[in-house]
Amino acid sequence: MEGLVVLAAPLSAFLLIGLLGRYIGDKASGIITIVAGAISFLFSIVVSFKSLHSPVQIKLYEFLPLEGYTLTVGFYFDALSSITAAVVTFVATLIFVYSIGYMHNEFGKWVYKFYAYLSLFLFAMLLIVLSDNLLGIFFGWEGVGLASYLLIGYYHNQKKATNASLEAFVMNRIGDWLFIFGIIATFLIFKTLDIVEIFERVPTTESALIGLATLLLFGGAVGKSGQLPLHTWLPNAMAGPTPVSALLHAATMVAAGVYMVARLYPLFESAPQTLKVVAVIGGLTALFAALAATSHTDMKKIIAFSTMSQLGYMFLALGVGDMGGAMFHLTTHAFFKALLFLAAGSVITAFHHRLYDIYNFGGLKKYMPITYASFTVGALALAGIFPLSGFWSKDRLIGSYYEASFVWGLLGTVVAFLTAYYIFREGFVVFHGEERYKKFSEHEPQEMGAVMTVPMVVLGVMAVVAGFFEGWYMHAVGGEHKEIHLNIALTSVFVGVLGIALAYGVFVKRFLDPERTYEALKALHTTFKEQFFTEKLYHSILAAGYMSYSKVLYLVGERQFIDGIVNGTAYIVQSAGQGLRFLQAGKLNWYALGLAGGFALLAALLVFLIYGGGY
Amino acid sequence: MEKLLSLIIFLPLITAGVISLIRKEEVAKVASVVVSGIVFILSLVLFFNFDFSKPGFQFETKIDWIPALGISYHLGLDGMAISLIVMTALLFFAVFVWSWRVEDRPVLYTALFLMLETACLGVFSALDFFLFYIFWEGMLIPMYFIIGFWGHERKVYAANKFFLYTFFGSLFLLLGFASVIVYGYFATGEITFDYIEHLKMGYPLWLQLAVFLLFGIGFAVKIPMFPVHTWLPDAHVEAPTAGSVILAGVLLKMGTYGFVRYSLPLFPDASKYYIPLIFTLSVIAIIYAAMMAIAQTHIKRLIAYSSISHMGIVTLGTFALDKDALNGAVYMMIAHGLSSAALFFAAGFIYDRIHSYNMDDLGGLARYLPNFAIFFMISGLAGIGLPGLAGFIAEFLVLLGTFKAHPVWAVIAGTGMILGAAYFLYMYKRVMLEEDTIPDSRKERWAKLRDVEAHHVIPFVLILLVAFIMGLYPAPFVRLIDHTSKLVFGG
Repeated sequence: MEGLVVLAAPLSAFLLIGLLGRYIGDKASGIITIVAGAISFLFSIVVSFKSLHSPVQIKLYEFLPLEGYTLTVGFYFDALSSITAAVVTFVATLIFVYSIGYMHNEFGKWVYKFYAYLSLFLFAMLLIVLSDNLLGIFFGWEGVGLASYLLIGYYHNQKKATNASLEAFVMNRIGDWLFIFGIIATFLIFKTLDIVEIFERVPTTESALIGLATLLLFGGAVGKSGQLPLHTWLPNAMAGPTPVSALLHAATMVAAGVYMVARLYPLFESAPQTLKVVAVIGGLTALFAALAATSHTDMKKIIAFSTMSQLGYMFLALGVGDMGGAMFHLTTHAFFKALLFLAAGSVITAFHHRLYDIYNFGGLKKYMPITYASFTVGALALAGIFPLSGFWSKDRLIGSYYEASFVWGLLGTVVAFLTAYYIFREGFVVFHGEERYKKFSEHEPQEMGAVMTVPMVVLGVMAVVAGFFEGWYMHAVGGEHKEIHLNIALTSVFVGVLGIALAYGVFVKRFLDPERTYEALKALHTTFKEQFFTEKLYHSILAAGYMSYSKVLYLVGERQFIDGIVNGTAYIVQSAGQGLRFLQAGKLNWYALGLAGGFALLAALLVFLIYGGGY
Repeated sequence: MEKLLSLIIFLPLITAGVISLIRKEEVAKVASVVVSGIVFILSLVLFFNFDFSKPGFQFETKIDWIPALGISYHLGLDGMAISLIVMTALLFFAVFVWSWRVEDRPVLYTALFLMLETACLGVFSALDFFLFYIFWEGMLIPMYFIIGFWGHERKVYAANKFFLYTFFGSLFLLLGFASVIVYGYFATGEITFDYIEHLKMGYPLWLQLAVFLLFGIGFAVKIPMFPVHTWLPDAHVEAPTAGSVILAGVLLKMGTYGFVRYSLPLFPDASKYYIPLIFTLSVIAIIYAAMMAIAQTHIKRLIAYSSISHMGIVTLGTFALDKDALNGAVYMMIAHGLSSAALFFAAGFIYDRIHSYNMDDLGGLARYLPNFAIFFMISGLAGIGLPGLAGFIAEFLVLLGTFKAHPVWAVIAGTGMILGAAYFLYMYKRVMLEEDTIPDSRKERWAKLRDVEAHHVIPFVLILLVAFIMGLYPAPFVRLIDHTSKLVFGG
């Protein structure tokens, strides 16, 4: 029963704030959200300990009777789901605390809505994590889609935000469209939607459809986790408030795709072809997003591309068979990525939400030491520097890549280098060098209050120490234990340091003049920055194109053609002298005529069919 | 219980007669709300007394009417019919509450709507061809006047188009009924208009193939299916809010109801034969109408096209000839009845306050009408099939059932969920959001607007509550609807 509290707390908070928020005010709403998150976290810890060795399944009520099967709503607590729930609620609660500081005086009187949406977001994510059936996962799946729509578009007076939220929802729905058919196909193969039953039946089921079903399910993950080719919404989602970005990228939403594949891993393992696709998509996205991150200058977008890249890493790991490693990286990533976003948010708040471009900051380290330290810890963890958490999880992944094939290993190493470079480029430009912000702001930036710094410090500690739990984690979720390959570990740290050194050399020591280098590499830079022009392509062909095809079809097909025929017919009838007058003057006659005419036609038809037809 | 059904059907008509004799505005309004409320409660009594484990029609009444022609007053309900009756009663109650502030000829207005309610309830309960046809045509006249009298600028054009179109469809339906009755006479030597009797006949294939088309045209116009759909957007654009709500919520369901009640069980072989035709038209409707929807700047026209798109899902599910799909199709009738009603209420509210349906004249309303913004959003989410609301269960069942035998059709039809999200959110954005893009003069106007009042809140809350219940606890409703599927497919 403790398990249900995990879900009930954020749901109650959402309902309570949604219904009463405007009466109890923003502060109370914020506190309710935090308390609910904390309760959810505490109970998920309790549940984790209980279900670590013996999984618990709770069934609630009969939900949907289908032909030959009745779906029951239920939840499944095993090591994977309950530890993930604990991580999600932990990070989310810290972000909620941080939000109080970040959203202070933001956007008029609507902040209570923001807290309601946050609670909804957490609830939907927990639904994905804890549901024991595919349809329950889908409920959460669309739920995070809705919550992210509401949160990305939170500044709904701005066109940028509403466009981004619309794009996020629709693009997610493309993934959901594939996902729902994946669920349907899985149901038709296994005759059940219950994941525990599916796992039981996997070894004994031979079906050519499993490949298709898993591929469709993975399609859902591609949409939700912003992988190629459904990736453009993720960077644009940065239009939302920073806590949303942190939540979206660390604990909820994008992590859902990876988690879902890991959750259904026994099913995916029985479809090796699909795993190859997972690996290819993941690998390509990891590289693609890392390249894009090297050229962007938006404070938050760089981190967003970094997430996309790291998720690609996780998918690649899933694809080459290291489920435990992927999930462990998801966990460490949740800590350091949330940390990076909160640090970025702290900088943005210090400048009153007006500056976003990294080149507009500079030299902040002496004014904002805690933020600087947090960002650096997060960046070091992301770069995989020993002994921070990122080192352990990343090293394991790269080891798995090399085991699978040299090409994947090499790709992992290259991405590790790029990662270290782009994140330290951001760090050095923002926190070191000359104080360029003076052009835009007279005030000296300063550290925000404790509500914002304490969550950063806590996450910072986690980003440092989480890696030491690798052995325990693998043991719990049943991932295979792997020894550290010294040569891989050394190589990874080396390329990481190399990336940092490059960024340091270019952006602090200026061995290369950034402006001249930029001019020289402009074409390449633009290609990366425009994400290989995918976004432009989508927007012009898919979005704008769909609109104009629709408009043309409406004006020509609907208005001229179909309606033209209708109105033409009506005109002919009318000009034959009768038409509408029939209706107005003698309705009864018209009926009688119709009836008689109908019978006459019918009689003719019968005569024809009986005497003339071949029956 | 049997008499209760007749009472439910005719209570509104009697009330209509009484209020047109009294001719007092207050009486008419109070009576309409009270009577439609009673009808709704009584329909719930039927609903809770319906035993869905028992096969066959329930609450049956059969009284000889014109014995020489085999016409009888024959009523009865199955799972689909009782669901539709409860929904109809709910929507009419909502409409009367909503119309509390109507100023233009309120007595005639309520009387016509009460007549319409009787016709709608009758259509869903009649088990005699003659009776059915009377109710079917009976709904045409009040609706014609509602559009023609209380509509907007081009109301006469729209009313005539509506009338001609549906009348044209009705003629084919009449022809269809005539054909099977004549066939029945030749086959059994007796004339009968009774549905149950005809169910037992088992028409030969040639008759099925021919008459299916006659019925089909009649129903297709009403649904409306592509390409006989163009009357619907015009009718909606011109109709008053309450008229649109009933038109989208109830009247469209008559066509799909007809397919399930008549076409499937009476012409089972023809239903199989025409699958490719119906599927093609359904999928075109889903995608084409969704494209039409996003091309609009008129709110009601957009919602009208979204209705056509959703009706495509219903026809697809109906003719997938699968139990899950049929359950989904009927579920969609109810779900769409609720969501489209709520959306038309929302459109009507905007018009009441701002006197425009044009999205270019709107924008940024969310801040000024916060409560309305929530209702509008939930209504739309119900429409686009968000899990947790009734529409999702319907879509899921239809797609699941269709996927079994026709996976490619199902996957193509499934794109409706992407396109639906696009057109609804695009509309919401243009109407409610992006305050920064509208001129200041408009903001000043918006600042004076009044948010939803009690007579708006009650309909919204009632309708959306049912949508939530059906989305979160669908089991009893699916079992109820399954009662009809068993009737159609056996078992």
